[in-house]
Amino acid sequence: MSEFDVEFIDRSEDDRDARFVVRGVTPAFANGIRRAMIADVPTLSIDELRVIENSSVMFDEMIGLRLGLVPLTTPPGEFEEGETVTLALDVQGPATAYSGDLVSADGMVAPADENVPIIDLKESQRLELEAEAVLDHGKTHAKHQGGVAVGYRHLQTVEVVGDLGEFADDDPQILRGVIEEDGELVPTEEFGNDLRNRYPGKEVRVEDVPGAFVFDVETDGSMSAPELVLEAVDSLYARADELEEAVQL
Amino acid sequence: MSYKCSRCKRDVELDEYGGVRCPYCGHRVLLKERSRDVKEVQVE
Amino acid sequence: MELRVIENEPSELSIEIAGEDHTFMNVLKGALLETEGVTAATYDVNPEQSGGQTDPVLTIKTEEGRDALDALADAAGNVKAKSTSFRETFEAAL
Repeated sequence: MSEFDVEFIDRSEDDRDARFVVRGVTPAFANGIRRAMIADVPTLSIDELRVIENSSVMFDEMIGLRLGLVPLTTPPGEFEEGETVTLALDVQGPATAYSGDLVSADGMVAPADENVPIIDLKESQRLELEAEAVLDHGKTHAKHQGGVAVGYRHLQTVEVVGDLGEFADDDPQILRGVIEEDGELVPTEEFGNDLRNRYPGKEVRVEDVPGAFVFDVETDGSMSAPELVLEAVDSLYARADELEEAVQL
Repeated sequence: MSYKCSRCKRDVELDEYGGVRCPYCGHRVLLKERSRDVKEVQVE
Repeated sequence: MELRVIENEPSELSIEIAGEDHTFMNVLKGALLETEGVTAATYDVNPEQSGGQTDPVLTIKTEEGRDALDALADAAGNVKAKSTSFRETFEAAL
């Protein structure tokens, strides 16, 4: 008997993308979850290098920046903030060094994608290094952001109010997101995002459904979209808990 | 300080008397080699 | 979370909450406005002429006989309850 209601519309096979409707939620709370997903859920990212050999055409710092932006899998709850994991990279040219060449010292941590190019190495060039990945927040550096495309829209309903006049302008009625029709959730892509295709010759009225939000969550692969949502909610809980305790003293 | 002659590609050690010149071929362009130390880099 | 009380009267409370931003403050403000006995609640993340202060300052006004600190504790409890409830509902929908 919860005040909320959650219904999934889409979930990608690899679970990096999810789209779901939440009902009974205030705009403040919805925004809190969204912001927490972007800036407050910590992920592992390379933050320090020990370069043993770099005879490539780029400076160590440039390689470091590229490595930092490689998403690493971060199972929620397994690491403390500031905790580090060591990874190693050793590639001899001629070859391209890819994120997948990173070897992690921890079985739970690995590059989320194996096909991110780091640098192209020519004959006799070599890149050998050790890297420390650290757990930190998106607030500190964008490389620690788990959510890369996170947002929400109001859920909208469409009501047919009458017929269009014979000489009425045939203007497009573009909607993006998800609409609700008699309790059915319909993604607007189904009718080309244009209400004219769904209700030809009809005059329609579009209204927001109060307290209902359609969330779109995409992660960089450091964790699944549902995990990211739950981590964000937990971060709000943790702060409320801390405040409650501090106030009650 | 270890350098490498840009013409004959040989390793060159410089001292304060010889001036900037390769002792093997006399070329005056020397390249400084990267140190073999492990370098620590902070990722910004 | 470091708290610094700026003003504490029976029905009015001004408190600085270090290290927080809109993410939590807006949720908290929303919860406060739903809390019984709270007549006004707001926060400001960059009070004017604050000399560069950017920690949010939360201000709560309450009805007579209602302690503002208690109201704040209740609101925090409400955010906790909402979070737990959201988590359970979300997990059930998976």
